[in-house]
Amino acid sequence: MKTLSLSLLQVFSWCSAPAQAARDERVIAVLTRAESVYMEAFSAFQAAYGSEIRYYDLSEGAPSLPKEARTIVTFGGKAASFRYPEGTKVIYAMAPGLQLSRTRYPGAVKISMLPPVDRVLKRLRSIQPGMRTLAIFWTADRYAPLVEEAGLRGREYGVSVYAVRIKAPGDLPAAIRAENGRMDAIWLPPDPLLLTPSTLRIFTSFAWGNAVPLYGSTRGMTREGAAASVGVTVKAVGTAAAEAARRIEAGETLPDTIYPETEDLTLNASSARRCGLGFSRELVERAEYLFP
Amino acid sequence: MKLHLKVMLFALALIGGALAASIYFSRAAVSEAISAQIAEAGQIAATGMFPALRKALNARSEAEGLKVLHDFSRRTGALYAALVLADGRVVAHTNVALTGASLYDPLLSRAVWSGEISFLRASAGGEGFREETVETVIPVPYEPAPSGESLIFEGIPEKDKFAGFLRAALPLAPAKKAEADIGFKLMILALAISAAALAISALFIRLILRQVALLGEGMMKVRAGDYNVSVPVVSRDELGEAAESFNKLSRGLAETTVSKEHLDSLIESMPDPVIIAGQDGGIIRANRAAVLFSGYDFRGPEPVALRAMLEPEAAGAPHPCDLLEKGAHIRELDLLLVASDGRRRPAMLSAAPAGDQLVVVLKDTAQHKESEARVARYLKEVERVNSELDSFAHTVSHDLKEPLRGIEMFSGILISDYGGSLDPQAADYLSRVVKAAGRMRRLIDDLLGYARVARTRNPYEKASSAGLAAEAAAGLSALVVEKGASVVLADDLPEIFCDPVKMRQVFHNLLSNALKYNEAPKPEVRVEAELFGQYWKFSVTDNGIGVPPQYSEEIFKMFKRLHSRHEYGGGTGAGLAIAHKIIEEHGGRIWVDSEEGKGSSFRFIIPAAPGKDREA
Repeated sequence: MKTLSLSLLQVFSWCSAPAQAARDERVIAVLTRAESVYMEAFSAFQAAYGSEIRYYDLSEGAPSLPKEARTIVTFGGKAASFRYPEGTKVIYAMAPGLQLSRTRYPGAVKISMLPPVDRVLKRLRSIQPGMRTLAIFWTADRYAPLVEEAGLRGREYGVSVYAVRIKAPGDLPAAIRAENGRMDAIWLPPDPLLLTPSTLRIFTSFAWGNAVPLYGSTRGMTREGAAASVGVTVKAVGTAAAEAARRIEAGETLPDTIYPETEDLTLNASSARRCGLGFSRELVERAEYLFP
Repeated sequence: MKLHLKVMLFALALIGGALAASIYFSRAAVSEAISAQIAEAGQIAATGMFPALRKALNARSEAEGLKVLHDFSRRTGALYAALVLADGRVVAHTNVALTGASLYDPLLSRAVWSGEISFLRASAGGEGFREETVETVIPVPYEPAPSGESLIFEGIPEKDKFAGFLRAALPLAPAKKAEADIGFKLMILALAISAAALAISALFIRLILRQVALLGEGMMKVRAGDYNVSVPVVSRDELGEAAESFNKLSRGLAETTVSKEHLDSLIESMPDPVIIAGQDGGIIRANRAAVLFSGYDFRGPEPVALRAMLEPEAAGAPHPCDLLEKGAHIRELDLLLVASDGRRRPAMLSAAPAGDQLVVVLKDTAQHKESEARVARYLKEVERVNSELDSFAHTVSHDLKEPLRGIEMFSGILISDYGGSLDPQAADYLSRVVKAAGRMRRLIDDLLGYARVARTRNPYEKASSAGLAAEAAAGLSALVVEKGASVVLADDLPEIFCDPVKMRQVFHNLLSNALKYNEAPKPEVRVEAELFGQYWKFSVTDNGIGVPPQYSEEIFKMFKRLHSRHEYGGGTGAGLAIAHKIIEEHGGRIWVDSEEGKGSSFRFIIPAAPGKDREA
């Protein structure tokens, strides 16, 4: 933790220093905002990448990017969807489903904000060994492939995975009622169209009131009431982005999507207890974060 | 259990009960107050949301309801919140699975009927997770001030009508600590009050029971035998009166009762062993004589068993303790006492139960038996000597009579055949020889008669004393005629059980003496008898010369004479001795009542109801 703090300070000092003309600006970073998770991800990226990278804060207005920039690493949705010069190789961190056009940006690489679905299912099974049926609630079209894959991969782990698509938030209560008694657990992908404070509260209230564990895909969802979540850390995303940038600079052709190597397991003991779920000591020791 | 302990326990139970009730009801009151406070806080939070709640209820809109319910939950931390209608139907519930269900229960019913907020303590959650909550039902009123349009078209809503109810499980956890703190403080306060009450009770009990304790001490002293006890009267209540009564009682006891110390000293001073045993046969007390006699130290922690100390005298006889256990009184039972060193000592036991105790008195019969044996030996020796003496007297008398008879016979022949030719002096000498021989013969005859009394054992039988006396008088008829005497036998002379031969001898000797020692011109002898206790008393009364009082006993000795042998017929002095011996042999006694010169009354007594051994 101390080491991490020192490196962050170091990065901060680099970032706060004025850009130098002598710096190699073939690789740059664009942040939706130069704060919070965006800056955290960039810091991890910088630490992993090594040489100093200049970043641009999109919240301060459209940046004037250097002409020699060939690889742009973006952190945040707005930064990813910003219009960059054609032919630029964009590395962006996104949830499943969102994909930049490879026509405009050939060689664009997405750093997945979600672990591969099989690893997610494996982890969920280890949290709840008795789980036989898992319901995935989703709304955005782009999650269709993910849901489909989850259905297929679930069989490998002895879990019947099925999807419940919510077309409008108002449909959610009725949809949940309709599935009540059928599902052993709920998993929510980071679907921004489905997840609002209100819907998340509906899910958590249902989970607590009916002892149906709710699993999320980010630490934030766990903090808000999910029993556990399997996601990726911001640091892992930054690290994966740095690795992708190095390989692109080295002339390699990368796949459309790159998954960070490690998952982020977050547990919420209180929510789990309310759902009648207990965490083993081994699981707790393996978790990256535990909300009491 | 001691009285003060009982009273303390009673006080403790009362105080404990009061303490428990106080804590219970205090905690219940605190719990109720905190629940009410939480419920009111929920109501206050809900009041600002009434328009939204009303809207959702009126529209029966779950979505609208959820929004406001989530807002309510967020503000109050409610574990769940629901909008329900008066009939219990759920319009919206944060646990969407329950929307449309019915939640009608007494809590809702109370709110519906009262129109007021209602609440109760409950717990919410599922398996493995339960959280204490205040289940609250808050009525959501209709629009408080109906708009003019509503007033025109719908009129003023009824007072007790509501749009619906907000039902929520409000968390108790934040207030729990406060509740626990208040409960703890109340408990400490109650404990302090209880401790003070207990201390005051203890003091009060001590004060009250001091008199009882003093009475108890007094009773212990009385029990120990000290009757002269006076208990201090420390209170002027019923207990004080009891103490005064006790003092009077003890004074009365001291005046009228022999104290235990005195009794103890009496027992201790008894020369014979005295033992007091308990119901179980264990010896409670024994005097010094018992300790010396048995060798046991009865002051040991374990009581000595009476049964182990006693043994029957004869093998196979019942054990003395078996008799004692039956409550029998035992008098002078011969037995053996097993001393501490194992020796068997002959003893005589007398015992009687006294309450639940047994008083045993032992007598060391070893010495007694030894004395008895010694006496028996002496008696046997005396009997043997007497027998030898009798035999000797008889033999001597009989053997002496033979040469005497020769002397007498040949002296007589000499006098009769040669009396004329003898010198007068020689004749006189010869005559004296004859007289001396005759006298010696009488002496020998009397001696033989005396010896015969002891030697001869005639069978005892019923005989008429009148007949025996008459036969004796007839034997003396010559003397009676010679003296011109009269012998009168009383008419009521009884029938007696005796040796008739010897008894006739008695009458003969007494009548003979009465006639011989009589100088009256007309001697009179009277024989009478009367019942004297269990004896017949016979009297042979004469008007003779009498007996000087100093010789009233001497005359019954053998050959005792009060006069020269030439006076009153020259008796040998054996008659009264023989009579004395015969009467003694019959278990009686003989004596004389006499006044010199006025006559004598020879009296003797013999048993009226003879012993069975003689009868047999």
